[in-house]
Amino acid sequence: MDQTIPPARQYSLAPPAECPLDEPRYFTELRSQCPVSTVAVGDQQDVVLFTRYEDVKQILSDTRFSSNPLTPGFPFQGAPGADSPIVAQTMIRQDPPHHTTLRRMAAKDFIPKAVEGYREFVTTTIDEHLDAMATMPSPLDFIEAFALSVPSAVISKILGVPKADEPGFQDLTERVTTLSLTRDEQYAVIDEFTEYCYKLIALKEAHPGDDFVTKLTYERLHKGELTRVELAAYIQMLVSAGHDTTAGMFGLSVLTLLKFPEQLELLKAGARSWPIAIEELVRQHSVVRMGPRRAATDDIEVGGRLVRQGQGVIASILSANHDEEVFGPTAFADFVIPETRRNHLGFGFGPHQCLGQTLARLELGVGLPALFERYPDMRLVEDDLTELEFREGRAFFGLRKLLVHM
Amino acid sequence: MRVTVDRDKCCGAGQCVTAAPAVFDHDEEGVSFVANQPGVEEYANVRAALVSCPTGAVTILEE
Repeated sequence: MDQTIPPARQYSLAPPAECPLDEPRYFTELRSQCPVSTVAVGDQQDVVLFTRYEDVKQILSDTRFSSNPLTPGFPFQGAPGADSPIVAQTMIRQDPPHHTTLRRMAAKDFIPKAVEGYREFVTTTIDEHLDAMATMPSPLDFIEAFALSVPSAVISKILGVPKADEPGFQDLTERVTTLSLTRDEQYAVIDEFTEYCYKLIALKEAHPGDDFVTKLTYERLHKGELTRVELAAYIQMLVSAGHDTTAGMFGLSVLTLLKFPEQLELLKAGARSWPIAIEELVRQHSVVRMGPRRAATDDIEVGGRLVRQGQGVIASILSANHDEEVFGPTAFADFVIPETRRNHLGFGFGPHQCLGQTLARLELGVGLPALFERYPDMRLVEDDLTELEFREGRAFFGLRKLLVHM
Repeated sequence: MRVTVDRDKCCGAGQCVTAAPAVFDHDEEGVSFVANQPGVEEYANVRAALVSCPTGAVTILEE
């Protein structure tokens, strides 16, 4: 008898048309019916997709699942330029022990007590943006006026990027995280970004400042602990991940709280805490949702499924963060701020867990309460979610535009 | 309760210091260590640190 094996489902993050803030419907179905399944990523037909919280956590904790796109089986298709020799050198793409060495070069600048040192600057930056919004014609685009520009200004200050370069790196980040580019186009943007980073390193060599790029240049590059290309890759990662993710979260958080005014009232009345609300918003929206992706370097059993050495894996944070067995109902329509903190995977898990999470929490934790306090009458221009403009085909989820009346 | 941090596993994500700042601290390399063994009032925070540590670097040796 002629038996045809149906082709594997193509991995996609497309949300349901009627609710662009929900996870893809098939994630919900897979978790209840087939939590470990095989999907196609580009023409790679045997990538294993894990959708449940516990399985995702287990994979991200197990360093036998390699983060390096050059490891055989790594599903890099559809992830812009992930196999580029430059991107392959970034810290987030390394495995231990090299990953540990690279990560420790930055860890001490992003631990809670270091980030606390940025509070004053973050607060001043946010206040300046809130002041400026008062002088803008209403309605204004919250993404441009605040969501993108605050995190850009903050990461620029920390890294030592000149203010005038901000539009340039916002544009480079946008292009480098655009998924629809061809491989050649992706490589060209990465080269352009790398050139920019070389210029920044040269600037710091000529004019050292009290900033992170100067520090890495003098303490690591000049001592031979990092090559120039490794340092450029490191800077690219810090610049793009350091502002675009938080920008996405600012826009989605404001949209969510304006769509659920009774939740906002609980925050204002002190019946719910802002830090817990921010964790819940990070969980709900899971803006870094492409993966994470891994490649098995051994035969490893997870969730009752044997993953073969050389097989690609997607451990979906987006799906894990919507696992109803852990979090209860999690559609956007169900949004409520819980009373206690829940351990979501919005910042990842394992040794690659987000380096900048404390900084992200600081920016959101200062910015959101200050915004709603200063502009208590802020309201959406467009109430219909399906009419909103999202960033299509981008590595980090977010709104392209959010018009609000102040 | 006695608690330890495995410095080889620690990735400096800062979860333990956030959960139990009276117990954990970071050294000059950004690696976590136990600054003070917990008193009873810190037990709940240490358990929160244990579950939120992304690399399993925190261990509770005895309850």
